[in-house]
Amino acid sequence: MKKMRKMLAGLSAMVMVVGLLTACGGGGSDTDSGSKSDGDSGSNGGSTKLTLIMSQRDEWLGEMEEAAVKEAKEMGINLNTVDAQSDTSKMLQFIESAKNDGQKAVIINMVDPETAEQCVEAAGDMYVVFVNRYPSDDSVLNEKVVYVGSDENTSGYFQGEWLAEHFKAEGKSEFSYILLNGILGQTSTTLRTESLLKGLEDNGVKGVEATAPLAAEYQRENAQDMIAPLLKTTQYDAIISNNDSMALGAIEAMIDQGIDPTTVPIVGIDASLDGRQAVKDGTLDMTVFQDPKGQGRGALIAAKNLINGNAINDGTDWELDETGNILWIPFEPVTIDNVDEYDNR
Amino acid sequence: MSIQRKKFLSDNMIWLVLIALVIIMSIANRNFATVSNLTTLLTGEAIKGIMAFGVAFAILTKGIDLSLGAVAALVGAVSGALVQPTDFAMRTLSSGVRLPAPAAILIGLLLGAAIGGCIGAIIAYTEIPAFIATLGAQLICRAAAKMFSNRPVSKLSDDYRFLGSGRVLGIPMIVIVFIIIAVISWFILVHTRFGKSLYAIGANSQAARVAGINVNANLIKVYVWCSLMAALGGVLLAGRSGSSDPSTSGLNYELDAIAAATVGGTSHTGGVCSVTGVIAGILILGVINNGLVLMGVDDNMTNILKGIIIIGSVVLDMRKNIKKV
Repeated sequence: MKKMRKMLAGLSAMVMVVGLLTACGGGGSDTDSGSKSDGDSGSNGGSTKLTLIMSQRDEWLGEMEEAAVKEAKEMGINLNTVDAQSDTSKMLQFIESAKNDGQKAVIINMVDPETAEQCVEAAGDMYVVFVNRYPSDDSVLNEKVVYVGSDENTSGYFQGEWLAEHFKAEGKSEFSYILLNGILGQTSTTLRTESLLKGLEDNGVKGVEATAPLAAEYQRENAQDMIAPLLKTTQYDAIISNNDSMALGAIEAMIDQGIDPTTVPIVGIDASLDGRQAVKDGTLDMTVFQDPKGQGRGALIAAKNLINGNAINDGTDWELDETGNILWIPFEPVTIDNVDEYDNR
Repeated sequence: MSIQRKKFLSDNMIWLVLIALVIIMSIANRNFATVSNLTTLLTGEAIKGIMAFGVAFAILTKGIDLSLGAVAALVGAVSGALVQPTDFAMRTLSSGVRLPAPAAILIGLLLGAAIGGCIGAIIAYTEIPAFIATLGAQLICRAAAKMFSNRPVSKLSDDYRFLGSGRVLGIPMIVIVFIIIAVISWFILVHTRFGKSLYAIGANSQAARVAGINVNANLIKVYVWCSLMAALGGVLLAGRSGSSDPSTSGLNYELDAIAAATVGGTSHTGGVCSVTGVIAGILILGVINNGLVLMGVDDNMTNILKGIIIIGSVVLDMRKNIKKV
């Protein structure tokens, strides 16, 4: 009996910890559950509850999430953000939980763009706002299922345009490059690389890839390790990267080997904090600003407009595509000339 | 009798924790205890639960399996590629026919079993720790999956997806599969010679050997079972989302499965495991995952709580086992 009592004591201690944690964790949600009861009867009364599902949390996505949370506060929306940690199954579970909770709309940053159809299915009657990752099968988009993001067909294009201009100014119509791809097969990687090549072609400059295709998975360390052995053994006129992190990895590798990174044009995408610093330092020649705050805010605004039955860009300057179901947050090219403008955005 | 009673009691302790959690969650959010939400909860935990039944066998023999998620990704990609439409431009296999779903799933399960056989043989004959053998297998299988396809394997046929996303009488198939696996696991552990041998090996493998149990053969079977469950998990994961991404599918699922088995009272010192315990372990973690999301609690807080529960349950478990001696 003594043993039993001891074990029971341990058990109750555990339950207490659980209770305590849920109670303190839910500190914010105490007021939520209070206001929720009003919200349920009339959700337009300003206390709408929404869920934002993040595929993961990296620096860029973190900024997007933060902007969405800030916008929600201003709108008086009770926004619950959750992290699917790159797990599609978990993402679907979060969608169903939001539905079970009686929410009217869900904002999804998909883990895998191939699963858009399943997301819509899991959402049932809820409005769906896909943000940042474009559905592979965009036939799922309609007046209840919309997309907010930047058009990847323009991101690489800006790089291509800039490089074409740079080499034309040097009197060259052909150059060789090392290209650091993100994750092969991922839509953003494919489109960034494709639009880069198109940007070069449209501007009459021929680019030749100096190496076998490199995929550094958008990671700085990977890019650094991958490019290091190539720097002194390969002939190249430019380094092109699908994002800033990998470009910074390349710059790091050059400095390690005593090569001056300012001697070769290097271009990235994202205009991240570190990327912008590199532009100011002159090591990164050009990057493309993908607006995390714009996408985060845009997703919230689109969700609210859907619930209120307005056009999804209502109250903003952003443009819709011809179907009215896509809200484009524009990419913007960034160089030393305009980099300062992006510090406070 | 006394051991039986203690075992009975410890099983009920877990269920008590579970009931307490359910009550807390139900009070905190009235949308928690609805049929649709509980279905969501079970659907979400079923795959990890199936893997937990796999890894519980390994833990029972003082082993572990860290390759579950990677095996799931490999099997999901391979079996999924066999059921893609032949006219699909992004088809993983550029040639070949579209197999009927049962054939593709069977091939996937056989692949899983073969991987498990290799892992088991390595552990049994080289006597390296299972931790190392399955860590290596994890890296190899994840890399193999990515080599097999560098993009998500999508557009899977509806019949293939039936197990992962279909419903029978309103009950998700995935939950039915989970229940079937639970029953099979219970039957193996309680009613077969193999199951009883595992308890003996876990308690003392030397003694088991002396008593005439073929320890090596049984260890191989354990890892075949583990990988089979991982393979089934892979098929279900691909079926559930309609797409299997080799780089993210099943990522870290082994850790959730190990956590569920551990919370369910499967002892890492070997020789202790019950199917009902594992079920309770899965449900406890599931209730926390689901309930805290509904309450709007930060995920980091959810993970802290899960961490505390995992450690707490093992502390209780160790105390229990020390008393036994």
